[in-house]
Amino acid sequence: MKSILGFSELRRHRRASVMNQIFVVIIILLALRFFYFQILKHPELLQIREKQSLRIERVSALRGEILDRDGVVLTESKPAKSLYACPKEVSSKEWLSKKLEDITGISEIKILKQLNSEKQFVCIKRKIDDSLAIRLDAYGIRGLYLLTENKRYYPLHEISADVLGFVDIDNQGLSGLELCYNAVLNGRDGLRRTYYTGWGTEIPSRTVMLIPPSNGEDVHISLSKDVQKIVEEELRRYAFKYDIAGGIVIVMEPYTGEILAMADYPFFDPNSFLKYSADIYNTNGAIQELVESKPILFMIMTAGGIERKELSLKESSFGKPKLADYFSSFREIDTELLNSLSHYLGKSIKSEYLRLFGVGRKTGIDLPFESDGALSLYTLRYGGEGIFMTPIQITETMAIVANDGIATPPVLAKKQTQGAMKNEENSSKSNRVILKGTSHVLKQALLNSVNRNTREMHIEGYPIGGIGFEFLDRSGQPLAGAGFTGFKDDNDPENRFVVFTMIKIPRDSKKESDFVKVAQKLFRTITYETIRVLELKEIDNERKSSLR
Amino acid sequence: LHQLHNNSKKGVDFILLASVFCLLFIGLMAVKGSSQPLWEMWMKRGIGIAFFFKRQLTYILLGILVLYLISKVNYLVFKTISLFAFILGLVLLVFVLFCAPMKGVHRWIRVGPVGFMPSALANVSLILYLSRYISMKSEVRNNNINLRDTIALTILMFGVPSYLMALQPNAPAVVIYGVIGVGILFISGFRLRSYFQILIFTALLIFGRYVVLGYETDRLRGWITQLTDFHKGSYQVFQSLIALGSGGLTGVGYGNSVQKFLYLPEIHTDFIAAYIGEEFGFLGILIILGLYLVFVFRGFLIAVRVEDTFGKLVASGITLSIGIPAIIHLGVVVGLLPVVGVALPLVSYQGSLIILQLFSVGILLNISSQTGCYLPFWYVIKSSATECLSKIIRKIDIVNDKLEKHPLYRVAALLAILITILVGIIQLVIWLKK
Repeated sequence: MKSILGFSELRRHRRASVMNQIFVVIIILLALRFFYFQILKHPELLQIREKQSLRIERVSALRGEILDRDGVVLTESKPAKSLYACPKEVSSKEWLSKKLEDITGISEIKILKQLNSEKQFVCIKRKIDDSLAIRLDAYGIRGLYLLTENKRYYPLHEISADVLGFVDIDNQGLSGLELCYNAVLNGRDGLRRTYYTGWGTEIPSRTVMLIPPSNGEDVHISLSKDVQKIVEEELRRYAFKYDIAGGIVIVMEPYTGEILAMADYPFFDPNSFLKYSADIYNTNGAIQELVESKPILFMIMTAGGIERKELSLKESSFGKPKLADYFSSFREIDTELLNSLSHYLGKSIKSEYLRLFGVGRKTGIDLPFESDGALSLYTLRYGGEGIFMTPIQITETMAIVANDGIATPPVLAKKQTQGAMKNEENSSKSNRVILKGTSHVLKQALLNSVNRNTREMHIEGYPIGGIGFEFLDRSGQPLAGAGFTGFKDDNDPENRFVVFTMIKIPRDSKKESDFVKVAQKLFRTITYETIRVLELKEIDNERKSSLR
Repeated sequence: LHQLHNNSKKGVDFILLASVFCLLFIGLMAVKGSSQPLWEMWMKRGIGIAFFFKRQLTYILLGILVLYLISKVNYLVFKTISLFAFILGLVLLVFVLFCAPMKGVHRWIRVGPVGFMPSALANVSLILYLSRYISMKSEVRNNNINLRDTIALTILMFGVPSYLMALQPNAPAVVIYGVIGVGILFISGFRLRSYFQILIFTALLIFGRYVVLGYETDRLRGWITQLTDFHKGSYQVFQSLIALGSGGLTGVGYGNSVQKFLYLPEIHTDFIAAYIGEEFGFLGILIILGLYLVFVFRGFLIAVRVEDTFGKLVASGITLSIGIPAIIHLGVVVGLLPVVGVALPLVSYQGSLIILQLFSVGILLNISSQTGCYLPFWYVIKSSATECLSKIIRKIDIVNDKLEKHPLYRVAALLAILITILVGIIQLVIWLKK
């Protein structure tokens, strides 16, 4: 008898092999499908993946620092956290936006709008405070990320803010030296190739630097932090004491043209400049303010007269008393005197010397938005009225007299990391404006005027010369300010320095005060303190070298 | 007891075992690489370093222990306990519905840190109980089956468990369960008329529910769109195809996957083949396909060899229980099937399920040892090299003789040769290019 089981066994064998063959066919089909996508569609799918996750990004170079003449760091680039959110990961957007409003102060509606956007990654706030970053990190909210960026930080806050300027959120200079040397400080950005996760965060292990960034160079400037600090403290003190609306001080070395200090009161903190009025942080009076200073113009014209042997300080000319006396009683220098002098000298001498002293022309200081001053053709031909100079131009004029007639353009930046400043080659070198003899005569007159008439300005052991001035505001108000500019003399031309002080009074001020006297006092204080600081430094340097 | 003692001394199918170990090793490395962004992200929630890798390793080691022990136990023991296993499977399928849901579905029973999926146990218990049922029927009824049996089979063995699984809801488990059962019925040698009766009943039961409730019709519609244009497919499949496509021929290299960084969700479980395809390219996928082919081929070979009907059906069922999820997984990954969330057996991270899979493989190995034509398991490990080698050669000769007579052998041999030549040529081209 044929076994039923045997027959069934045969069928089972057949069916098992059929099943096996079905598997083989399916696996071959699968292999073909894999082949289609992995080999034939490889370029297309690779492109889709790269579009989805690969990004070529700019790597911002580290911005260089600005250092003072003694190497004190005036600006710093510190890592700061920026707050980002990944909307996909956020479980409750309403709750998060409310929470963030409480923590950061940004409006809830604004945050919610960002969280509801289609983007994978949204920026809530860039470069937040460290304390806030620590707080947010401690909360550990899902979907919130803190990414590190570089933030410009000014460790000395208000000190030398007008000179340094400030940067925008992307670390691009907006004013001052930050703007002027933006290219040097910025360096060159690099390029990197990086992959991002599906949630928009970077995959650090996949980042490849294509072009490494070359960091910005440090810029060493002539400013002295110590002198600058004294200048600003004094200005603040005087502002408080005499209720003045503003004040400008410049301290300059005439031999090198280096600016030791430059301040324009009221000050601002560049770390949070937006808290101040735009008039404060957008202007630097030392290079932009226009001042009509008749004594300075008188000094320039007199220098021209002496050079051309048309005038002598010790004799009376064109029906006026001895010109040397005007230096001590500068209040008598009025439009009428200037006009007479102008007519006496003739327009060629007058215009030549005004040009030689740089009136109506930028001094070339390495700060942006410097004003030309105001010198019209009319005022050049007739009379001495309507000539406006900037504080830096007045300081430069005084520096020519103090530096034996040689003009050295004012300069702030001394060197960058890789040696001399690149713009130094292009800048004009020192040039003689007036003869040494002429400058000597003028210097003597200025020294005498301080010695004779303003005894309170005397500093024991140090010859001081200078001249005061009052000026009218351009809008025609009776008295808008007063100033004093002068120099500390020394046998060694390198040890001389020029100081310019100026105070501005509010138009509605009813306080009766001799503001020229206030400017003189300020001049004397700053000169005295600068001498002290520089001499202390000298002693310190000598001690250091002897120890070595 | 005498039979048990004898069986445990016979050799097991070493080739099948090797393919299982290769799959486990590849899986372990793939889980390690693919889960890295996940545990890094979850570290804040208290998950340790290489969490998934450590767990997978633990489960694999435990699984290997289970595999070893089960391979020593005569498979006939499971014939006696199969009814109990089936009832236990049903009870757990009911119990899971009362457990706390995870991501909105009742699929897992959690005991402390260990999760367990009753639908996987239901698969094993179905294999055992269905095999017992059919083997017993076939012995007395000339392989025929009447209407009463048809209804009993359809409702009790297919209807109730698959309905319970559908309540979880767990569509992929229902499909796998159904296909395994239907596969066993097919191999059991039923006359096609009876077979189709059951098939129609089952199909009506399974798909009726989905058609009536309109469940997952959107997913099916999306799948049809995706077959015609892969750009318009579901997000996961599109990302999976990007992973595969960017891998190319040789892949981006181990650890260099980009898609694992939160582009492809569940990459360490439901899309692990995409990860392997990205990092090891088409060649990596060919190896995976080849290993499954070897497993299925050897599994069916065991089924053919064993004389006992129960053993035959259990071997086929276990082969199907590994082979079918693998095909579904690979089909999903390559965009041929709709996204159903099926892990790649023995490879994906799937928690304690890997122990259950190795448990099944253990039964398969024990069945293989009954045929007595495979290498002894302990030979390879314990015997001295020379002694072993001569025995291996002798055994291979015997196996080869038997294999050559088998019709499937030629197909598989041809395929193996073709794959080897193809891989060889590709490697040569790459080498020449470099």
